[in-house]
Amino acid sequence: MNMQARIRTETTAHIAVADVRLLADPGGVLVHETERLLVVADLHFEKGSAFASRRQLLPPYDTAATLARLTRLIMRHDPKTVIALGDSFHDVRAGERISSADREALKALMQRRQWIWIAGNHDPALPQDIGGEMLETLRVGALTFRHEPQAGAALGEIAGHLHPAARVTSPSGSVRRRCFVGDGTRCVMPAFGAYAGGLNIRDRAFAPLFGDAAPTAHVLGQSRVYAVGWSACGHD
Amino acid sequence: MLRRHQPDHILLRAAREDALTGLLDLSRLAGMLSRIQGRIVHKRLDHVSPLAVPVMLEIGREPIYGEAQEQVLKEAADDLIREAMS
Repeated sequence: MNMQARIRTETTAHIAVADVRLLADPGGVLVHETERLLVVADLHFEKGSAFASRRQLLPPYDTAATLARLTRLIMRHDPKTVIALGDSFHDVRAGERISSADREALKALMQRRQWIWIAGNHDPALPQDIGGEMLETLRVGALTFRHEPQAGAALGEIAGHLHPAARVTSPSGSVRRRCFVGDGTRCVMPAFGAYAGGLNIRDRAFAPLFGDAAPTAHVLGQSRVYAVGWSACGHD
Repeated sequence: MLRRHQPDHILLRAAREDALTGLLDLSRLAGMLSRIQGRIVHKRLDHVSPLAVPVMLEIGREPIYGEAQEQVLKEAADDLIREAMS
C-alpha cells in the first residue's frame, strides 16, 4: 500500500447513526456523502469580542480563525447543504460586532449553497442580513438535527450544545481532545468554535443521553478520528 | 492565534522574554560557554557520573507534544479494535 492510499484510509472514519453512515472529519464536522450535507456544531462566532465587552480581553481573532478552518473543510467536501447546529453566534449582538471582513468571508462561504442555521440557546435569533434559513429542528431521512440533545432515547438525533471532549488514557500517557460521542442511535458533535471549550463526556450532563450500552468517543486527532472505547475515557 | 494575526503583540513579546530569562538564562549560558571555550575535555564514561544523575532523572519527565499524543490515541483506538475482534 503506498503512502497516499494509507493516509486516505486513515483520514476517513465513519460514524453510524440510525444505520446512516456519516463521514467524521478530523476537523470536527460530519459529512453525509450521499446527501452532500456538511454538519458543524457550536461555531460561537464573536465569543472573543463578547468577553472583551465585559473587560476580559481575549485576542479578537476567533471568528476569523473559525471561519478559516470551516472554509478549508467546505472546500474539501464541497457540500450542497451546510447545517450549523446552533450556538453559531455567541450572543444575539454578535452581528453588530463581527468585522466586515469576517462577514464578507462568511457570505462568500454561503454562496451557491443551502445554509441552515439551527437555533441554539446562545442565538435564538440571527444577526440581521446574515442570510440562510433558520430552523428549530431539521429532519433528513432517518436523521434529526437539533441543537440541544433530548434526554432519553432519540433515534437518529445529531446534536451539539454539550461540547464533548474525552480524556483518553493509554500506557503512553493521557490526552484531552474534542470528540464526537455516539452509540449508534444518536451522536453529539464536538464544538467547532476556536474559543469553545470542551465538557468531559464522563460529566453527568451526558448520562441521560445514553442507555446501558456505553457510547464510543470518536476523538479528533491531527489527521484522523480515533474510535476510543468508553473504558479508556477517564475523568479530568 | 496571536502569532498568526499579531506577531508583535505585547503578550507574545513578554512570553519570549520570560522564556529567555526564566526557563533558561541564555546570557549566562553564553558567558559560560565562552569562558570554557578550548578547555572542554570530552570523555566517555562506562557509568553515570554523580553530577549527571539529576539530568538522567529528568529524561522522560518533560512532555513532548505532537506525535506522542497521537500515539496515546492510537493505542486506545487499537484496544477498542482488539476488544471488538475478540
